[in-house]
Amino acid sequence: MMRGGRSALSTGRLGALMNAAGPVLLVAVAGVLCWYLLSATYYADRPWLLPGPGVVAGAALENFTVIAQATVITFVEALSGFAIAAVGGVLTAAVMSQSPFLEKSIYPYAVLLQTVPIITVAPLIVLWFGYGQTSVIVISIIISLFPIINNTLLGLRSTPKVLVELFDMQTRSRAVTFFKLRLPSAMPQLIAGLKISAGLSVIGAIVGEFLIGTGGGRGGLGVQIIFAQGQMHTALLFAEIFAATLLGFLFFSAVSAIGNLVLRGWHESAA
Amino acid sequence: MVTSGGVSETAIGVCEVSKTFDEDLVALAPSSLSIRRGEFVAIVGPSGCGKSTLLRLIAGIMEPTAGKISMPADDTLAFVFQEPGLLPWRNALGNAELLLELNGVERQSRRKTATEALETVGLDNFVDALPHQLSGGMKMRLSLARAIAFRPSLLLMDEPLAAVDEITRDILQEEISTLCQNLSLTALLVTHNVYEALYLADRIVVMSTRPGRIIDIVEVPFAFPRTPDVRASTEFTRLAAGISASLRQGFGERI
Repeated sequence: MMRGGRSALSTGRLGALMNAAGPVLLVAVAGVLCWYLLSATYYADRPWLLPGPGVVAGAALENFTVIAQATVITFVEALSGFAIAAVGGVLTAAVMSQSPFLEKSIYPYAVLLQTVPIITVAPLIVLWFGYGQTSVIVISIIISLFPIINNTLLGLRSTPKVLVELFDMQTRSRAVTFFKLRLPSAMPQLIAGLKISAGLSVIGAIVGEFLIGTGGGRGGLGVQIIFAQGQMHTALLFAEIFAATLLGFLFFSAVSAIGNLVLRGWHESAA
Repeated sequence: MVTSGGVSETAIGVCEVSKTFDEDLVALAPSSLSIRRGEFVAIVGPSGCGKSTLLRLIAGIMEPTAGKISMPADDTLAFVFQEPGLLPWRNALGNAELLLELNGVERQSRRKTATEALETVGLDNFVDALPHQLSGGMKMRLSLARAIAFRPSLLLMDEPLAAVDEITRDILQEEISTLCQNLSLTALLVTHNVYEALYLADRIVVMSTRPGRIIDIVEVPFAFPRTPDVRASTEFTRLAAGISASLRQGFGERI
């Protein structure tokens, strides 16, 4: 079935991987090349504005332990925020799905939680929870809660009517219908919400660290980024931005992979 | 559950039952119907004639506005919807045992019953298959297996074959016919297909629209078990023409 123009590489597992990763790698190589050229020409006399890829890689290696420790700290904060938001979000959506009254009374506040600028409530959070990881986790929870509530609620409300009728004919128990029908039916949307929130929880943790600043002592990536900025260590700043991006990406990928395992075989999104 | 002796015993009594939506939309004008035990009754009619409403009222999915529906207290009913209505995350066996599970039948016993039901509909090689791996016809078989695993005395079907292709429909009609005979089920089938009704039913209830009402009840004389040859007989064609004429007449009155 091979088309004439394709090389022998496009058959087999390696070929498949190359076909999938090829375009992405191509863009990465082109991007790094442009970055290098720009840093070596226009910014050559101002390396503190745009250090080249080699310099950034050097800074990353040199400060590997610091970056790795900071990444672990941020990851633990993000994971805590994500886990609490996941449990809380699903529970809130489950409660709201039980009656239109509950939904009408709770949903607007969930929206408010999403729309309040986190920067404005951060001082309050620090006041309540102190200069420490607790505040960072709280901010991460606030940022990642809404997509989980919203998507789970959407899922819980979209149970196919025919299945609801089928269950109604057999059981009067709302709990049975919830756990055997509504919740599993809502899994695709619930997982979509978790995927959005996985990335958001990392952003929330870093924003939290920014706001708390160095007051928290041992700092995560947000704290390290502020340090690097203060020292005009742009290469380290770049290395930390990459670390933060990679952390968010890996966390999202992990949640996606778990989601695909759960949905495998029955929902199109996990094909 | 079904006594073979009581053929003339009434399984479902529908007495002056009507259904009105939103105060003034009459879905079903007062209608009466008596279904004998072991009988296969088909309801035919155009869209909006209240045939599905009547079926849903009998199933207890909705309450009648007036009138009374009676059936023996120990009767159990299973409903087959137009869509297969399967749980996409459960394999064929998990879907087939669902109604038993919801009624608290213990695991081992419901597994056994569900496996037998899958064999009955010819899905014994697809016990572990998920619904999306099954064809449209197989999904409908699974939906039937779920219904019969419940060992109902009444089988209510709402246009179960409307969405499957012509060839599958013919085969499934034969299978439904055999199934209802072998299990001595009392069956009620809603369809808009006159030929399907004629092939399957002992009696055909013809309905019309605005308001939804029963305009005719036709006895089908062919003996069971029926073979596909029945479809080619002159009597079959004559009856089909007669029912089509009643349907047109019921429609024409209002145009």
